[in-house]
Amino acid sequence: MYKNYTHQWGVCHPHARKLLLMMKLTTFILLIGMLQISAATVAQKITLSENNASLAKVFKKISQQTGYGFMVEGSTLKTAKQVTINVKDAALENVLAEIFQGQPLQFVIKDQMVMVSKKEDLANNTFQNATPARKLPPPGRITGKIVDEKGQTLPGATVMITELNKTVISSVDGTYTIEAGPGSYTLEVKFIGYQPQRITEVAVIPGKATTLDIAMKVSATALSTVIVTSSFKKASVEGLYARQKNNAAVSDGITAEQISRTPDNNTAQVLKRISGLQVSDNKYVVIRGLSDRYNNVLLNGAQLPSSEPNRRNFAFDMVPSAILDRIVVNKTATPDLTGEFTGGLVQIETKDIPTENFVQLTLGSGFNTRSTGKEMLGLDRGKNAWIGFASDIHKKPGSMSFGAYSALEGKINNTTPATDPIRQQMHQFLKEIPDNWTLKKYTAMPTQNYQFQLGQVIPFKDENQLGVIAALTYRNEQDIEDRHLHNPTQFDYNGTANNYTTTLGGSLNLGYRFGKNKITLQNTYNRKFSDEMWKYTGIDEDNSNTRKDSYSDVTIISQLFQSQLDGEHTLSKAGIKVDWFASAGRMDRNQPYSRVMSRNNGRLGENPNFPPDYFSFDLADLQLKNGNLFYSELGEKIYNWAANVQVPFHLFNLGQTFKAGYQGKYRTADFGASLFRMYAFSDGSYPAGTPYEQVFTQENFGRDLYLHSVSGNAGKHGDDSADGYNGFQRLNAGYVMLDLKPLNKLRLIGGIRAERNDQNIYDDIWDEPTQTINRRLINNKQTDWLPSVNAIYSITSKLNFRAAWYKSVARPDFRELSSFAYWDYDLVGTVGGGPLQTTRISNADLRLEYYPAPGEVISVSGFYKKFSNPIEVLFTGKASYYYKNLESALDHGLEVDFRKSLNFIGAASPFWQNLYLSGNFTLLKASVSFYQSDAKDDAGNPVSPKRDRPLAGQSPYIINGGLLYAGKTFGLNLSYNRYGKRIVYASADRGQDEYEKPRDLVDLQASYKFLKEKRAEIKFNISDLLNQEEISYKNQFDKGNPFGFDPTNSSVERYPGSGEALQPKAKDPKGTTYNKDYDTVVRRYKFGSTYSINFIYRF
Amino acid sequence: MKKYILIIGLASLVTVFLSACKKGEDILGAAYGRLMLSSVFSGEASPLLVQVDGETKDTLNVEKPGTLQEIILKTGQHQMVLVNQQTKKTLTDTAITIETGKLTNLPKFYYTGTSALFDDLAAKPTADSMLVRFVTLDPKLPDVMDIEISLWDFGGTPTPLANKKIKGIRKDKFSNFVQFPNPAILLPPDTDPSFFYYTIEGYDPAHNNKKVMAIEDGSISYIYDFDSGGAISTFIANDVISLGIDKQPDSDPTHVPTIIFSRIAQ
Repeated sequence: MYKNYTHQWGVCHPHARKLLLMMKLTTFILLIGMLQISAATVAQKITLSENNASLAKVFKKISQQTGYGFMVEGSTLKTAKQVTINVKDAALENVLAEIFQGQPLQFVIKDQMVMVSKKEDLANNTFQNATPARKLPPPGRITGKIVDEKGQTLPGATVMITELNKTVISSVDGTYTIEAGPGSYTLEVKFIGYQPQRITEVAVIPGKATTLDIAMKVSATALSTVIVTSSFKKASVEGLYARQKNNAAVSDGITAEQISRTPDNNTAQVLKRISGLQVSDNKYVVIRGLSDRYNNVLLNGAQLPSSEPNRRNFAFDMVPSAILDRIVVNKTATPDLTGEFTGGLVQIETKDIPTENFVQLTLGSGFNTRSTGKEMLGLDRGKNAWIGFASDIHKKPGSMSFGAYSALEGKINNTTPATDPIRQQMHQFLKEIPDNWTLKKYTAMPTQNYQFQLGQVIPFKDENQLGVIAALTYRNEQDIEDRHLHNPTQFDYNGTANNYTTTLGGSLNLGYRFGKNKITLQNTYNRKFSDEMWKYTGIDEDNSNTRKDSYSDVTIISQLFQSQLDGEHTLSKAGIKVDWFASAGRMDRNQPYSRVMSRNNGRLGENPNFPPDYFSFDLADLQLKNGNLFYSELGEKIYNWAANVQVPFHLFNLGQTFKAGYQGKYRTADFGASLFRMYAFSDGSYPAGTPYEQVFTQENFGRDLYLHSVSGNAGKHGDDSADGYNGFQRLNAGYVMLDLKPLNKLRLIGGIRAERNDQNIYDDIWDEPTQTINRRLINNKQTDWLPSVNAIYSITSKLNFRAAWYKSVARPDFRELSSFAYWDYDLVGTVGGGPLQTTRISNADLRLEYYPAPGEVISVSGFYKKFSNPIEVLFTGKASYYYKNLESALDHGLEVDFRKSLNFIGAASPFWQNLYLSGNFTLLKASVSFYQSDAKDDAGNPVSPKRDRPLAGQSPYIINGGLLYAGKTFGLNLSYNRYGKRIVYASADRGQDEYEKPRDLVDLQASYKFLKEKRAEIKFNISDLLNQEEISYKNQFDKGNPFGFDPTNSSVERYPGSGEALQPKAKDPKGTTYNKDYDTVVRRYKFGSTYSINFIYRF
Repeated sequence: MKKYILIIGLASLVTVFLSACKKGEDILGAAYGRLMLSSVFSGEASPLLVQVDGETKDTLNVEKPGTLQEIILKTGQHQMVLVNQQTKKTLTDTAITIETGKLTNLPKFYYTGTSALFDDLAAKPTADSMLVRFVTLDPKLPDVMDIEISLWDFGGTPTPLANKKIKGIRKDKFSNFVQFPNPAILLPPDTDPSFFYYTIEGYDPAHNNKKVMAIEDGSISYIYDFDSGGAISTFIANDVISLGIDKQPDSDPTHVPTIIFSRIAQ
């Protein structure tokens, strides 16, 4: 065998070579280090130091040291690159891996022979006569971040594998990646001004990444030569501590690696896992019990527009979890962060440069116990709903705008004859409105979701890297919920809400890391189509108990695009860092043809013989709940730009940092809305018993039905819509901050931030006498000075004491400043805004945190927040709600957090080592004070403005608990959440406060990894296992209460301190806590439990 | 095998994926019209069930001889049956057509207890006259009764009328029509006809023609324009009336005349 291999390396005779070249197909060179044959094994150590040497020369030296022979095809080495290698006592396999890195060659080791070939030759069976050989496993990587004692990243640090003499420099974000063959290595890390570190026993596993974050300590001298040696285990623990303990602010977070271990598909689901956070409506976040108003969201550092016109909030379910790098939630402020948050700042960072190439596909499906397979109602959703786009049925009529129509409609009344030219013009327009009034029956299909992720790292010379991360997601959900709404004295409706949602997401992130710089371009696009059909029956209590059989249908099509260019640079060896970004975002939200289609079925008790589907229509009154049509479009553009400079310096032999920066924002909003009531001209006849699809037709709208403009009538918003607003916001902010370590154990982060805000909203108000539009300006302009101090005292290496004091603001949004009254289909009422003041908040936090082990924490916090001019949505009677400033509010809170491994039960057991118990408990004592102008009784008499209650949206307590098992192949996560009663809509009258009743939520996830290299994973998820009802209530007696009190009589003292006496026995012994016999349920929802399964495959 | 698994897997995936764009099925609203019935019950008649398509929609009786609330029926043809509640005997079985949004009034009928009698649509009086026929509704009155009709003035002076004695007024069927001329032509010249009125008196032939009934109000009686509830009675030319002689109210010694059918002959 191997008879053609005839020559030794270095002793190839010229004639023989010529002969070999002539024997093209069969010529091989056999290099046998016969003379050096020894008992060398693969484990034998090699020491080499070559610079731009030929491969042949290197082979020869290896052969001499190990006795291994090399077998190479004749022409193979022509394509080989020169080799530079510097290793000491390295294993053969590691040395070969190093040599062959980047070569167009490959090798196999058979016995004591190294067979070398071109990469394609093995596939072509060049060595067809060779017995199967052991192929070398792929190299592994050591990767991580170099941080200082404060957890700040250190760009420019040198990381070296001593055995391979291989060196890399940490990049601008402190990350490093160094590749090596399998084995155990020693790492040396050096950075000027810091003590060098040597870390032993760093194991590299084939094809895997070994994560090692390294915390560097400041050296007493500039050029320290004392090397601190520690083991891998000790160093990695210290690195983790450094990142965990040394955040400047009180914060919590979750990383991509942790996210990948959950079955979560979108960011809202991920946020549930962060301590102290709650997610309401499966998309909005509540932090420390503070509602959306007091929280803020940054996507890669840039502020996002609100995704909802009627809420100052961002719907987190729009962002797929696949593109997340990490989420950090700051609970206290530092000057470099926006001053516009009080509860928490959610910072979402998407991936840019991956640590390794990957392609991942996720397929998922699920069913809901209340929905899947069951009959579902809706209108025609359009042919493009399943891909998230609008269809023809959502188009506006083309012959004129809704604004122009409204102006025409203001000139006629319902007795205008059919021959009237204005009426004829109106009918021409109305005929163009898409015919989509007929209810349809669907079957609720299982939830389905698909995710595709791709990550590529393209290396360039000098360790520069280009990273590409692309992600595509698709999700379709069809669910049905029970929904009961009761507004005492107004209506009592019961039915099912049928929700159809399609979400599309895509992102393309490019990152280029060169030297001490990194430039990233991050593009995110999300699109969502949602259709909610609420089909209900009930009675109108404000209309002689008229029986209703109605539906409301709301379609919302929204899209969000954000593109952002970021730069990070380290300017000097001293580590001065500059970062900047510029981003542009656009959010469009289209709400086409939302409607209430109301049908009357006689009056309660009037005619019990009416068939349930015998209806009449009210086509004359002004009540919006008796029928309406609404069309709105919101377009927001947002531009953010910022630059920060961070200058490290040494003082007291300790590392200090100075940071300054500027941030700017320009945001515009244009909202047009048209709200109509369906009317019939007096010459139209629609008697009872006429099927609704024969009433609401294009033909009838072209003959004797019309839309009566409710919101604007003759008011015209840019002649495009009947009503609306537009406006802009300019925000310029600058800050300076110092991150000081006056003592070895004390760290102070403080500074001041100034924010100059200028918000301008224009409402179009129709002036009837002059028949002109007045553009009314509402301006919110001020400069806010926002000082903050965070102090961290490291009592021991595992124990921190933190204190923070800072000021923050919560500014009203465009929507809230505008007087536009939005018809809320969930509330069955209108929500109006007005000239609001910015909320200013003084905050103080104390926290004692203990880190028993990496990944574990136990902390106790106390917080204090004093609000000036907080904003609540106040119920002002019947079906009207308004955004209003309160005079003040005060919060005192206590928070306990823990995450602890249960390894103390059985330290040797992998089971107990991988089992974690986590929990969060927040207790809140709060009070609010109304402005006297709102603190009035029914008769308008002033009452006491003080209330001992939290702000709307806040709970007096929150409990989160979790049990997590994270094994190598199997994972389990059980979580529990409960929040105390919280006010949804407030009122000066305590009997009118609407509370949400506490309920228990239990979620369960299990995951299992299988197939080769655990490339496949199955994730099973049950959400809302207990399926408890969500109930909102008012503290007033309901119809049929066992005591016989009149409905709407209050069961609590309406105006504290007023001396108003309740009727005997009318006082609820449970106070404002839900008590069935004393309270009226105003909302009741039941969602069902959702079981889902996801299959993930990593290629 | 792997190939088949892949094909099945892909097919399932496509099926599930395409389920997101499944079209719905129209749920059309129901079209309804309304139905009203009215009748006059013989005093001895047992209740009558109004059944439509086999379902009892209403029950008529002496106190409530008509539907008080409209019967709501789906648009289209229905089978309506009137059934004697006591005997279960079907009185009428007829097809009715209901139109969307419209009220259908069935012809009024007189229910004798065994049969339903309808208006005679053919009868027509001579010019300037009216036609009246009679039936006894009061169960206390004789099964067969003779009546006499006369013309009186407010002073209580009768004007005899020829051929206005009618024999054999029954409970189970109408008498023949009697023609009444305009009182004005029966009166002496220059007499104001508004001071005159017809009266009806009943006699029991089985008991020596004992007077058993008078339709009077005090000393006066009416035979026309009862619908006005009337203090003022007006002669209506060409009126064709089916008059029921109803029972005495508890507080009133006179019998109450009930218009069962009334129409103006063309």
